[in-house]
Amino acid sequence: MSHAIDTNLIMARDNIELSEGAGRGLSSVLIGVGAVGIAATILAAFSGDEAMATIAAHAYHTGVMAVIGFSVAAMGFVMILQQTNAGWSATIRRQFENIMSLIWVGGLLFIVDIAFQLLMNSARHVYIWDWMNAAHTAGDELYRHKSGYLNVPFFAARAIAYFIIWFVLARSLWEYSTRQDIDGDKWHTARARTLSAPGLLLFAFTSAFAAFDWMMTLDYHWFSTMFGVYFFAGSMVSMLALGALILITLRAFGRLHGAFTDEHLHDLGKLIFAFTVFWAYISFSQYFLIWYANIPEETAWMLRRKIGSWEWLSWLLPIGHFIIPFILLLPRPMRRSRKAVALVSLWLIVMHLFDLYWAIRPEAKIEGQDTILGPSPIDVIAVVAPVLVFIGFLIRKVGSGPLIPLKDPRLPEGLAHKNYV
Amino acid sequence: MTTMQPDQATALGLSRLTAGGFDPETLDGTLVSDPSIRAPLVLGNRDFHSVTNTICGWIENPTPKWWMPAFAVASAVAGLGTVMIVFLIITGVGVWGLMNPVMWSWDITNFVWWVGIGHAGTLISAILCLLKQKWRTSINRFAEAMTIFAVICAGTFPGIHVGRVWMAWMLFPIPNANWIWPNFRSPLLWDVFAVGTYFTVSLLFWYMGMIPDLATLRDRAIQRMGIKVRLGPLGLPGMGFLDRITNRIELPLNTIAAYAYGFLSMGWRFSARHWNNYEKAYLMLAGISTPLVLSVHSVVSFDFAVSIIPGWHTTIFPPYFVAGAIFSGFAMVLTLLIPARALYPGMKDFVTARTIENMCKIITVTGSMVGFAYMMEFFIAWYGGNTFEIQTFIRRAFGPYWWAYWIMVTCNVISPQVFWFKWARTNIPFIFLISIIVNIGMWFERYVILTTLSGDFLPSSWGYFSPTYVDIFTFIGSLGIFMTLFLLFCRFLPMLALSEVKNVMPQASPHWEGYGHGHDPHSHHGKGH
Amino acid sequence: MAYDHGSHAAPDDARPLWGLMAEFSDPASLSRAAKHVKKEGFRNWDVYSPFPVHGMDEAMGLKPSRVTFIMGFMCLTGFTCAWLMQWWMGGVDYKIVVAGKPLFAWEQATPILFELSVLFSAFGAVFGMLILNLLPRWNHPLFGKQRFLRVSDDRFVIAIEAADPKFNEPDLRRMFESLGGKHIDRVEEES
Repeated sequence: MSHAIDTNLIMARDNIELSEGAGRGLSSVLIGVGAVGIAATILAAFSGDEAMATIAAHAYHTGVMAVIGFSVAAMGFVMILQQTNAGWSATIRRQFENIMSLIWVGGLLFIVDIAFQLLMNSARHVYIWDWMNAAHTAGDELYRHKSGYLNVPFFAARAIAYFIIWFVLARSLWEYSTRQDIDGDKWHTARARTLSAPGLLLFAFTSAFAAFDWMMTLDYHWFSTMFGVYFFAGSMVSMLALGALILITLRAFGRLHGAFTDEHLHDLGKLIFAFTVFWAYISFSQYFLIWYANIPEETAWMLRRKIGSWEWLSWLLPIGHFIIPFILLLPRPMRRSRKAVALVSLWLIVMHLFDLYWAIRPEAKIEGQDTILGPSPIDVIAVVAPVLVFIGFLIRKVGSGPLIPLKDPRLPEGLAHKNYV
Repeated sequence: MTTMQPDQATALGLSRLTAGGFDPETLDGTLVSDPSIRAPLVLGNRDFHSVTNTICGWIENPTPKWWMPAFAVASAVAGLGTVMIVFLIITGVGVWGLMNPVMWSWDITNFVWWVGIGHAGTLISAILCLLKQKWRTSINRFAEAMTIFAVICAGTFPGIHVGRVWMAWMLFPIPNANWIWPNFRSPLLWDVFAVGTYFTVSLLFWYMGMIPDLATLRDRAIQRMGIKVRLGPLGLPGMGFLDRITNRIELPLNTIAAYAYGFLSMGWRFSARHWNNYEKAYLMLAGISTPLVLSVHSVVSFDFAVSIIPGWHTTIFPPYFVAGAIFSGFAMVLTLLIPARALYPGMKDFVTARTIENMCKIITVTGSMVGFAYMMEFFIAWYGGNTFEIQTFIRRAFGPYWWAYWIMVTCNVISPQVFWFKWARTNIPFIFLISIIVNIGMWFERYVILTTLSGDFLPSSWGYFSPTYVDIFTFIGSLGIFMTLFLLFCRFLPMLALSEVKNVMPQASPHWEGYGHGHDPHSHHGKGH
Repeated sequence: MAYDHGSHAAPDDARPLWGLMAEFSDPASLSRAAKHVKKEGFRNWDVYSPFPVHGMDEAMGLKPSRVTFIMGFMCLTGFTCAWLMQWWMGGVDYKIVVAGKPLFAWEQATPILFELSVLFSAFGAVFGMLILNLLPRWNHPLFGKQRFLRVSDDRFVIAIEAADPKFNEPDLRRMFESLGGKHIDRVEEES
């Protein structure tokens, strides 16, 4: 039959590996530009007025959250694939493992973030976490109630715990997968599966509480039980989009023929589509329940995003993060077109950055004033810079090893994957 | 590296398993943990013909001995429920234990519980279909039937709760002489649309999936047309005189069956041009059923969450309700499937130990999601700092309904955690026990949410709800209605999706040239017949 | 219904010929045969199998199903109906303020907008499928053949209609034989 797959051709070195040092130049440029951007952000925060300082601090925090979201969501995705014995994804899993393994970049940028915030706290008295500001919380009964959770030592301990858990999980999954490349032991797959079950449980709790700690408590009066799921849904969308972009780019450079086929693209497109809808479901539910119940302690957060320029920017989310990708990815031919999926993926990454920006940035305010700090040019630099650094490291990572798991026991299944209907 | 099609890999795994004999540790040979082997989905070295014979045989063979007594009990209980409903309608809602401030109790608890149970059917038929989980083919028809019967039971409760049932048409936007329209801002009206849509779409999905199988039954009945069937003894205990009568009755059942199945199968003739449209429609239906199933329980959760009642208004309610629904639904599928698997000969070849194990895993996942939501609720209740909210949660766990709360936690959060261990996931009687415990736990979850009402904002209006016998027997009666419908389904409709099961067998692949190609004498056909 | 219980039609059957059918033993030989029939350029022919054989659309050269367009149309219809209904009934015809909520707002309309879109799409899927397949149709010349009834069990059949411009019985018999078809049989029109 004509359907037999020529494995030798697919497993040829020039199909599943990038040439030595490929993308190094671009990677260095991106890391360099990103680093300059971060430096510029910090400089602007120090040299500008108080508004500029708080804007820069919030915007940089947004970028860091996006980067952490990439790696953490990729880790969740890899664990889901391992846990469910997925066969179709055997050939594309390595790229998500690459994203996952860069959790240390997120950690590094987060350390910079915390150092930056601490400097701003002491040097400029600008706080993104108001509850860290003793002057702000003085006499606040609600803060007194929450202080058992919202205090700097516990906050730091939690952050360290999240990163340790993520790092250990990512490292173990990465080791299982890459060791299998060398020794071909099929039981590595079984071990990864065994790890993934408790791993997913840990993932659910750490990602939810990280979202609470680093995003929700920016307004420490506000609360939403859904917030962890909201962060997870958005991060999944952007992470899948990023993975799709890498795979499509690799195809454009003549790699992964027969390994990343239109069938895999189709399924990846479906996943991006599904998580876009899931994100819409979660964010609509969160907004809708607050809108309908209309009680002051909850609506304050939403109202802040309905004032000034934030009002029309808010409309960008349902339209840009849901309706446009929904319509674009709905027809089957679009999900099977590399160009179309690449375009939508790029758009969705931008939209996810905007989603985080929308969730974080309106919290920027000048202590003791009611001024609304609308979007500013420094936002773009501050949000994009950490992401560029991450992408720089990611390019390096992609080029550093084989592009598919070489000896995965489910590789034949992944190669033969086909959508019949 | 080999060049294998996935189906060939399956076939190879199958032949390897059968060649070496079954490993007793893996029960029926499907619980392989070796990642390079895909466990077979259909056991017993069956060919297509033996699959058809087995599945159609459950309908065509004489009524199993256990069926009539089971049906008698179930329909008696259903009758009891009907009497209770009639009593309620002619007397008034006051016959329930409802009082101020608990103006909603068992009725809404039962409603949410039943709707939730229905969700597993859609999950199995739609979501697992989109995720290409082939093991679903042996349980999807079963679960979809369960969905429909559960939604029927669910729909009964809000219907009779409105009090004046003859006014229930006002739930729908029907022009009327009072020139009024329903309130579209009310979550209860969204419920009408959500549950109505859910029932209709589930029914369409179920029926459409059944068309080819009904056609198979039609074709088999046609071949037996004209052969009369003796009714035989009913086997009801203490009713021997009935058996003497029924023993003599001969009925043209095959002809009736041929016409009935023929009518229902719409003249399906298995044409590839038809399959082309059919498969697309099926997949698209699965595609829209997936957000639908999420929306239905989300809308049900809106009934509570859009209000500003402490303990009800929390943003995680929609996904939390959906997870709980799937959790309880899977438990109910297992509760029904495990006895059926034991009672129907040959069913174990389709519903393998691995299928059961997979369902156990889903129960653990969704049970943990529910546990996650409980925790988030508690955390945010404390974190939010709202006194009423905090008080509500303390009252749930330590107030007058503490027992219901701890039953809920034990059954829903703790009991499914046993499935982390393989011995628990492979011990069938134990799984059956846990599935019943989970069902009880999920009923109590809804009850706990409802008891929130008993602690009103004003302590002076606090109360304690106690069910009356009407409450209790209406609920038990709904179980009877459900079981009656289910037993009828088992008797007269194909319990397994024939064409779908055949499609996941290795022989169905157009590339399959595997062991004993086609009707090769070397193939092991003997065992299947 | 007049069922031809004999497995072979009598040669002196007066009914006009509808087509020729051949049986295949498994999906693999069926796929091969279908590809061949398509290559030969037949138009009025069809393949019958107990389940949808993977890749048969491609083998037969079938176009993607149009049921998706019907669904899309129905989805938009449902959405529009739900929007107009809620806006007109709640916001125009029967204005009454409840719980301080707006008379009409997209937020509160979303649940029903979604449900009706799905409901209409589902009708589009099922009834669209039936309409495209010209079903229900309880009669068909093939139902007259005893052997055809086994298609719903484990047989695979290709039938070429006499209405096909390239239909030529002896040639077709030879073609089916060379493709491994068994029980090649004439199918008569219904009387």
